[in-house]
Amino acid sequence: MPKKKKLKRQRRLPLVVGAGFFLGIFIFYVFSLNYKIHAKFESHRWNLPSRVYSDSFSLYPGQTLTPQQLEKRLERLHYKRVTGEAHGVGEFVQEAHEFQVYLHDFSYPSEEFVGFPVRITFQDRTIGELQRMDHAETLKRIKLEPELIASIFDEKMEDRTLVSLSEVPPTLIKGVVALEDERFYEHKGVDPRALVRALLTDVIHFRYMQGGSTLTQQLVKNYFLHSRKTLLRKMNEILMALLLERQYSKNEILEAYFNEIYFGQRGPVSVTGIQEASTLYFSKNVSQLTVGEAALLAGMIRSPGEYSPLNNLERAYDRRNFVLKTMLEQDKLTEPEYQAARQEKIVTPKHFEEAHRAAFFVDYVQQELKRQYPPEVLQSEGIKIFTPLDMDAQEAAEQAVSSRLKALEAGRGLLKEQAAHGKLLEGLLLAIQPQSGFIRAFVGGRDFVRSQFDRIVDAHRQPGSTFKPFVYLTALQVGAEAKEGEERWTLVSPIEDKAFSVPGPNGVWSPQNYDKQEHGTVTLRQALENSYNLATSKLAQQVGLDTIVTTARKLGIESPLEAYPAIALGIFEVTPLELIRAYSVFPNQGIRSEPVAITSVVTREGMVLERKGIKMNRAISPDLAYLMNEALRGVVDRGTGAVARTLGYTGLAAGKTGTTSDYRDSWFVGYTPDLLALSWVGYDDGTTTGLSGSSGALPIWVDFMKQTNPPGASRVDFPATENIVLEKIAKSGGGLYRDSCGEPFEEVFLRGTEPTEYCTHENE
Amino acid sequence: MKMNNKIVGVLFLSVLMSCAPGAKPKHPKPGSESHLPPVLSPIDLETPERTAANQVIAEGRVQLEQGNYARASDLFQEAVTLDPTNGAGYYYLAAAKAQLGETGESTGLLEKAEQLLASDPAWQVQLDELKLKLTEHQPSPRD
Repeated sequence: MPKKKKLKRQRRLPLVVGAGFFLGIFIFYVFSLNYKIHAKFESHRWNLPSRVYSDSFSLYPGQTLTPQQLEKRLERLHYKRVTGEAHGVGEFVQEAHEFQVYLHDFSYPSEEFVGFPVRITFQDRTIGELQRMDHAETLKRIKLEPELIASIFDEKMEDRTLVSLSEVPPTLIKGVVALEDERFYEHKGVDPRALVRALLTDVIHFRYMQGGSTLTQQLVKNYFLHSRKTLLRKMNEILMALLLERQYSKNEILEAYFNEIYFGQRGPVSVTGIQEASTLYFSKNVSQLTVGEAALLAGMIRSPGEYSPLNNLERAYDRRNFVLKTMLEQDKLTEPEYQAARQEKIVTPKHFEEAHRAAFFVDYVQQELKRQYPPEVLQSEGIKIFTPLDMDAQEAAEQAVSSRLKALEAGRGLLKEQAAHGKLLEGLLLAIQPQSGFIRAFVGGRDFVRSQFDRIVDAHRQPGSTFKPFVYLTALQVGAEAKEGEERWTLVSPIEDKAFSVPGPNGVWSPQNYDKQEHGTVTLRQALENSYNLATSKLAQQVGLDTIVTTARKLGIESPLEAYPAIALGIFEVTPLELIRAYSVFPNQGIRSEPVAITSVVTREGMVLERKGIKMNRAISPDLAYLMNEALRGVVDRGTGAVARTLGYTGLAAGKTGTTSDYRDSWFVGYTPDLLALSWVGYDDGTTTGLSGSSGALPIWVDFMKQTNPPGASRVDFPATENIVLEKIAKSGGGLYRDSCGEPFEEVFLRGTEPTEYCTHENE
Repeated sequence: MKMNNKIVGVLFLSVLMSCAPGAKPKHPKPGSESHLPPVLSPIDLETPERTAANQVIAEGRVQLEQGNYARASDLFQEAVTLDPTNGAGYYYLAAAKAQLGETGESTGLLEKAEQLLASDPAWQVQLDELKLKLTEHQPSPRD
């Protein structure tokens, strides 16, 4: 007997050992799953994309703005067009001369703005009145929130904004529970009843139809596992759901579920989480959803593409009504609530193709942030980056560059031929507000997808004649500081536009004019307006090449410069960014503004990490800036920039064209008192284009300015100073004008430098 | 030490706020001769932009008085963006920046303010005072 028992025991032993072994493995496996849950759920749950925003947009009575411009901006901000009255957040009503807009909430770096309804009336092309509709209060100003320019994603490309469960409306929670997991609050992560029901359905239909997954299982599947249907995944899903429920409360699980769930695609980007879905489909915060909207979102979870109101409105209505009916049947809605929700219209905002918006600018912003915020931080921490970009100006700039380059290639043989061989002309446009340095438009190339090379920041090109104003500024400065017996340079000082040679670093240097002609004795103004190379080079020799380098440095040119004779004609390469910074001193009355691409960096919780405000310092006197403004105005009115007038730009403007040797670069830097813009056209490899500054770059500038700074938009002139005097000068020979001296013209002078003697050339 | 700085800062601001002219001061036009170019004086502008910017400046001054320097700075920056020739905007922005410890930026802004406001004797006094205070006190960054 004992022998038999022993034998039995011996037979059982392998089984026991085997079972123990497998039990051990199972326990180890469960522990490893538990560790996985703990590690991932307790730490950084999701990578949140950082977001880059444009500037906000102020509206105020008297502002020049058309209803069309406002409409466009509201649509870009995803306001929803409705009829009757704007009752809900993010809605707008447009009538002939009136808008009703229910402003969105927005978290500014130092302000939590809560939206309210406002009535905006128009009088012709200006805003007449702003009225707060809920308080019957007349307002002096309102702000439209900044536009989202881009999100910086990790490789998963998931757009997500986290919400807490307290922000999710109870109706939405009830709707999701009613539809996805009726017994959510009763089970422990897995619902055996639902599993059996699903299994039966699958067997009856002889194919996989239902998974019987609880919300917890869905969360586990989406968050920890994958969507492939395998037995192992299902087993892991069940085990992990049970483990998750042991450690976390129902509310924690539900909150994670609402933040994790997938709600469809926006181009290459996955829309995930309930907040992102609310924004995409209804242009509002999740807490602001109506019962009907909440029901539709709850219904979309099963199949976001199929039930999306953006794809098929009718199907979306059916789905929403089905959810509402289910909720009514489960006593999660009262009959009146159900009836009211069924009556709601589904209104979605207009959506645009948003890929690569202001792509060069966004890239530049990332480069600027790189040192303090590496890419992995930007892709995961949900940082908000505020910029001064004006999206209207940006769109106008992109359009101007694109359409003018196309037109040039279509109309010019040489360029057409190059394009036919796949070599496309490049262009750029950069615009800043000169007083603040705020970058308003930034187009670093023709097509970001084709070439990501940022020509604004990284291209070093010869500036050609756009450098000349620095020579004339130097002369005027030397003139202002001249002592007794020294040359007191003014805009009417004579200079020889005649061929000459000087020793240069590579031998003798002999400049030439663009038209290969000499123009004799001309005034400084004439030489600058007509961009005479001979006169400018001669002037540079006379005022001193070192002094010109010093002036350029003061204005912010940081690229290498040498005191060579040809410096006057812009042979030393600079970047467009430093060139525009240097020009900012003219409209900004002698004060140099640093270009600003980022105004604030804020954490997702709203803590300001840094502010990058206006930075300025004096470079030249306001008197000299005024003289230069007047001279550069002449370039646009009469000189090489007069094409701007031919092309129909009639507003106050000053600027300078630039063309480099062999027509490699075509430049224009021009400004009004409010806006400074630089445009360039050329090939990246320096191939000749056959384009001068006025035929290549200037038309881009004109197109842009017509849109963003139309005539009359600048309400101020370039302000003069008390040290400026205006004198009537004899056109022929100079000197103060008197009746017998032929034609007069008016010229501006620094007080004390104006001519004191009358003209000597008498009328015949 | 920090507390002392705060007290000095608040006192300094209350002096500024009580003495500084409003955002739209009344003053005689700068001396002009008949042959000078017909240009507008930036102080005297009565444009929609100026009206809107003055409203923002008024909001900013309230924040400045309450010690919310960051918020005030944002508002003044908004005002000068809206109306880039608003000298008062630059003046108050410089004052807010000084309180935030951004004295470098403050000095540049004060220069711009001076350029736009110097023709007004009342403003000139305030500008000089702020300049002096800036050199006397170097407030520590806060808010």
